Amino acid sequence: MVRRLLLLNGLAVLGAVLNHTTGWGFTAMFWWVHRYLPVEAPNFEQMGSLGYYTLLGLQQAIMFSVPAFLFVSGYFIAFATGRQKLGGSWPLIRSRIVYLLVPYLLWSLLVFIAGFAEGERETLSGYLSLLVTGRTTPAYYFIPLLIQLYLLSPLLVALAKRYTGALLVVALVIQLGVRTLVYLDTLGLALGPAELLLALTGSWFFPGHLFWFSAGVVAGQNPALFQQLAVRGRKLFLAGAIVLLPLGVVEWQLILNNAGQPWLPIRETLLDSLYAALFILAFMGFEQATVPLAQPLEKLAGKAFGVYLVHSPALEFGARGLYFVAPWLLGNVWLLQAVLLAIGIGVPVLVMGAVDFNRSPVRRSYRYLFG
Amino acid sequence: METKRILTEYVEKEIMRRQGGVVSEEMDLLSNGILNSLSLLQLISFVERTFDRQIPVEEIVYENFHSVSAMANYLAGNGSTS
Repeated sequence: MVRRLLLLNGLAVLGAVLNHTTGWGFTAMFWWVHRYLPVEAPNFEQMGSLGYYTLLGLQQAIMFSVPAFLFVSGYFIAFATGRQKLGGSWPLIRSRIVYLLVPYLLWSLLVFIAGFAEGERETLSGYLSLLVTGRTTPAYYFIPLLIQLYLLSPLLVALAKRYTGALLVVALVIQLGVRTLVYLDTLGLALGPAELLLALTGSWFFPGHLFWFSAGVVAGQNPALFQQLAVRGRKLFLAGAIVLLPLGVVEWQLILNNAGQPWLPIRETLLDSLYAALFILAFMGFEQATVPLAQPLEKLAGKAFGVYLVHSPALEFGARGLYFVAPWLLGNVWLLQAVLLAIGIGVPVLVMGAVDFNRSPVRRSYRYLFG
Repeated sequence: METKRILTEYVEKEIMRRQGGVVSEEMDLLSNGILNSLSLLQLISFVERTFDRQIPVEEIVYENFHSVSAMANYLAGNGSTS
């Protein structure tokens, strides 16, 4: 079970990086198309091509990543708070938040400095807003989100102990409510109160992810029961996840066709939530199933937060570098994904290795840089 | 003693990454911010491999894994279950 959770996290890290490499893949396909084809950009003629569906399929397949991170975080909190009373877990929560917040602020500062050097300017409140909502890079929303969930965790742990079923149902209803609002927003149907609610339900805000963390807490409090459930229903969970994978692609394409815009970045929908839940359950249920590259994935899982922090700026510079240096690469979907994946994983691992090197003068700062 | 030495060495080298801190046997690795969700999983995975033990999920509880001493005690057969 433990090894499986580690592997799940390794896959989730890979998924988080792939989510952003595919994002750059779409940028190359639509907005940088003039670098390798004699057309004006943006140009959406490649929509519907094999390359397009490859990217969309990849984005759909890795929809379990953030839910998996949150599930394992909830599981950890349940373990770590053990039999302590409400409030007894604050020293743990404080230390977790420090090791999330300090690296987050340092890397955000580096991103701000890079942006400033390129002429980007924000007001002080603008910078603060970027930090609070985790919009410094496309990936950083996860850190404010996790901090909120850690702050809520004493309450969630207590509720999970006394009202397990009620907590799961309420958390699910809140989360699915947010997902429903996403449909309205994407289709341009959000009006009045829905618009206000949407403003409060960005990716960085906990209601849209409450169920994943709560489910982790409940599973962590009842690990044997969770394992039993995952093993018993594993064939059904796997079948469901396999069916939902292409359905999710079709759903997003239908949403896109009706959104009245040529292109929108993919957002988690109700089907995606169900897919993520089934994927996690199936993965945990087939605990003896071999996973290719299991050892490197476990190692990657151990570096998860560092990779998460560094991959986004690394990909930004990498993709923009390719735009100038190797525009021909932008037109080859698979090769571009392979190169970006190598950058998205390789650069963070190299940076972490350099800091961790025996004679590195900043070695003692490792945990403040990468958590 | 050997178990505690192996565990302490792993925590200091692989988790604290030789930051200069010293792990005492009774130190709470969780409230001192040494273990997070992933390093906890790595630590348990290390324990399983090194001591050739398959740890049942119901025994992965705070009481058995919050300190080097608790882990050594658990491995000696005096652990708790959830």
